Amino acid sequence: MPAQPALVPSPPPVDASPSTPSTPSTPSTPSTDDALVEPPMVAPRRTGSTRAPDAVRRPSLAPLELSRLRGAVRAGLFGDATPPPRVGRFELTRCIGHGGMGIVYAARDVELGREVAIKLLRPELSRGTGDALTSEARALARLSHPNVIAVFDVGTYEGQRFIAMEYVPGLDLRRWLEAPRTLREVLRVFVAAGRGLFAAHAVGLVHRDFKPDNVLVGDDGRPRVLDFGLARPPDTRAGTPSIPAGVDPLATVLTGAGRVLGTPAYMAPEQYLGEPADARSDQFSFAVALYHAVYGVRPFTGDDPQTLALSIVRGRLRPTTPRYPVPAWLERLLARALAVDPAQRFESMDALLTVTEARLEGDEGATLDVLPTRAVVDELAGRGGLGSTGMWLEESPSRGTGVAALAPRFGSPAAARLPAVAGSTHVAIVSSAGLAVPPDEEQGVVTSVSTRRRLPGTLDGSTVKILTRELARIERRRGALEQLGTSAAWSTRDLEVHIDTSSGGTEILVWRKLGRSLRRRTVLWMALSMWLSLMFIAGVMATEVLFAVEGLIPAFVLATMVGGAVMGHRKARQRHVRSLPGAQDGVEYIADRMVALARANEPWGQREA
Amino acid sequence: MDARSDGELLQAWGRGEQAAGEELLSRHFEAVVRFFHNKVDRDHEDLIQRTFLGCVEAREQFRGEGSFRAFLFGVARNVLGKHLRTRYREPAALDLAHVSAAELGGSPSQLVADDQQQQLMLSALRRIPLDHQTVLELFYWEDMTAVEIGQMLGVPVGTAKTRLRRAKQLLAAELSDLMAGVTGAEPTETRLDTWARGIRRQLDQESPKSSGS
Repeated sequence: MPAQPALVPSPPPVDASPSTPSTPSTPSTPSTDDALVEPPMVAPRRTGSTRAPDAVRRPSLAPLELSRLRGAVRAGLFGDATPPPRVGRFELTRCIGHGGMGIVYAARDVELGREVAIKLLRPELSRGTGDALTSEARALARLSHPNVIAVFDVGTYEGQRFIAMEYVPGLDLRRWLEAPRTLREVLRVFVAAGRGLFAAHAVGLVHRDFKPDNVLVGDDGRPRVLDFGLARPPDTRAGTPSIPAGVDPLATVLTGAGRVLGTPAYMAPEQYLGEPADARSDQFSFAVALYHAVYGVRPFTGDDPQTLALSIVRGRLRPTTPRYPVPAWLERLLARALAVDPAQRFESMDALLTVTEARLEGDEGATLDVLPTRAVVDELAGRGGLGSTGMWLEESPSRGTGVAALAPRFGSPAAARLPAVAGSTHVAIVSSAGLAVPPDEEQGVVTSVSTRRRLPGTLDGSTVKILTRELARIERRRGALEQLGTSAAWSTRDLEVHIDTSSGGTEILVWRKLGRSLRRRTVLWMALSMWLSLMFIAGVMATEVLFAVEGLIPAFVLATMVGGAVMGHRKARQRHVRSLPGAQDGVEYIADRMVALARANEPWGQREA
Repeated sequence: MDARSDGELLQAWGRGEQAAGEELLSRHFEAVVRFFHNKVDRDHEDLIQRTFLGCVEAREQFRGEGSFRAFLFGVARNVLGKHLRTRYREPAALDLAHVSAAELGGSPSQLVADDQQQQLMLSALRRIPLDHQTVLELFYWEDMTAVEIGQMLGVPVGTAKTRLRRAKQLLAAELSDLMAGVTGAEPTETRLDTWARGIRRQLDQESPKSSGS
């Protein structure tokens, strides 16, 4: 798209053709550059009439979506029944999702009268020779498997490629995993999705972008893998692809030429190295997703694409406390599937799945029937990974239960009413390993969270400086740094981070004190409920009922006020306990970040690979 | 084409003249679409419709002395706030001045980013608090003046200017966060970094240097 003229004189521009269904397709600038994203240089210039720096210019809107919106809004406002826009024989009824690859609509097949899902690929993904896609589409059409979404039709609409699939109400696997699931349920779903992958491999298809977002768990409980062969693979002749900083590690990365590179957090080492992806690359991505589901964190760390790529290519798994008691066989299986060298992995998805299925069946001791200790948090997404998932009540109704299941981890002894399924061994593991410092208590609730990490080497003064700068950035405030010999401590009023050198290694302790926030919360809630009690008293007084028995008034006032105070106090505690899991994830994040930075900056960190 | 002003069209629409409504809709439709697109991930048709209906319902408050767009986006902002509150876990805690679109979850922007630079800018915008995001988008994309932005937020011009300055600072900070760890890397990244620094410098030049943060 050409840049819009940045300065539009007011009165605002008038759309000349408000009711024509659609403007012609986006004039796409054909790019000959197959290497990843070579941003044309923007010299910092300021021409007289341009207000915005070039990139702050107005973005363009997808023409079809625009005309669909226009029709829907006009219908709502003026009641005209503009027919919904059509893509081939499909009538777009509503938008059900947006992704890196394009927009997904619920649509109606006017010929067959059934509901379908239409994925409209972004224009740049629709470019180039259509042959590659159609050959894959043909392969896909041959494939009929309960764990692969059924594809009905593939075509092109005004230069945008679309794919018509079966419409399945359900959740994507990422959201599905946000609810507490037993290890057995998780493995079952993954095995089924893996079966879908294997079926595709069997007809010569490689997914190249397998991740939980690309698995749809239907309301019937059956997972289906989506988005096979939707776009062309990267051109391997272009050499090592590079991923620009600032991309979302959980979003699909496209090259400038509209080829799909993969999703950074899930990409196999060979994809990073610019080698062709095959079925074993899918196996790797599958294992990353399964690891995340089992351990609660992804196997490889890195806040920016560089460190992430490094740790994937080096095959360095991050040490962590799993959210389930992980059986040894599963640990071995994941380690093998995550091997850097494709030849070291399982020879096929089938081999991996057969092992898992045998274990699922052979497990009588109910060791797999355990619930997780914490929700799967997208530690890479959002800011600091805090609470970026599960905020929408509508989409993850089970978040509440997830928190309830967490209670034993944080609650005071009285609060630790374990759900029977949680399994006592499991809780024991967590309480001994999950906390680094015995938690503080105040008013009978836990008021501190902490975590600990060990590093194999010592830290240089300059690394400590880097770490503290990062701490200041995360906390958005300056802390006091104390250095005593080789140890250092960084603290604000609420957070303490200790870096201690002990025999042959370094220990990092992250400790957040929540007493102050609890007290603040308590004061706030008590004040609020006392005020409400006053309002109530005033209300009752106005009815003059109490004046009949004059002696009762002081007693009534006192009882209401005390009641209010107690309610406020209780509410504050409740809120506090609910905020604990988030706080714990917060310190885990800080600790992981410290470890990643330390490794990246110390010579021993590089050697260790 | 209708030569009447936005305000006249609004009043005419309010009296039941549909053609006036259609004209008004077509004049501002895309700007309103843009307003919602980089902030929420779905229900756009509903939000847009509620915005225009809100304008008609509140037309008494718009007597033509201020900018219509300021009025329109003021309504849009209320619609957005209301919408987010129904979806947010703790509605009382939701404050558009402090929460960013990125923190509220949802999918990455579906505006068509022409290139990587713009994609970066869009993500950075989503990471600053919604009110600041709004202010910047209206300033850069819709070419609204500080006076109009002030009217939209219901604050004096001086305050609006301060907001705008603060928003630019926040955006610059997010951009550097997004670019963090890039220096010394491969040529592509370095170029991207140079680009971001250029943008930041520009943002800085536009807003008089102020200390802090």
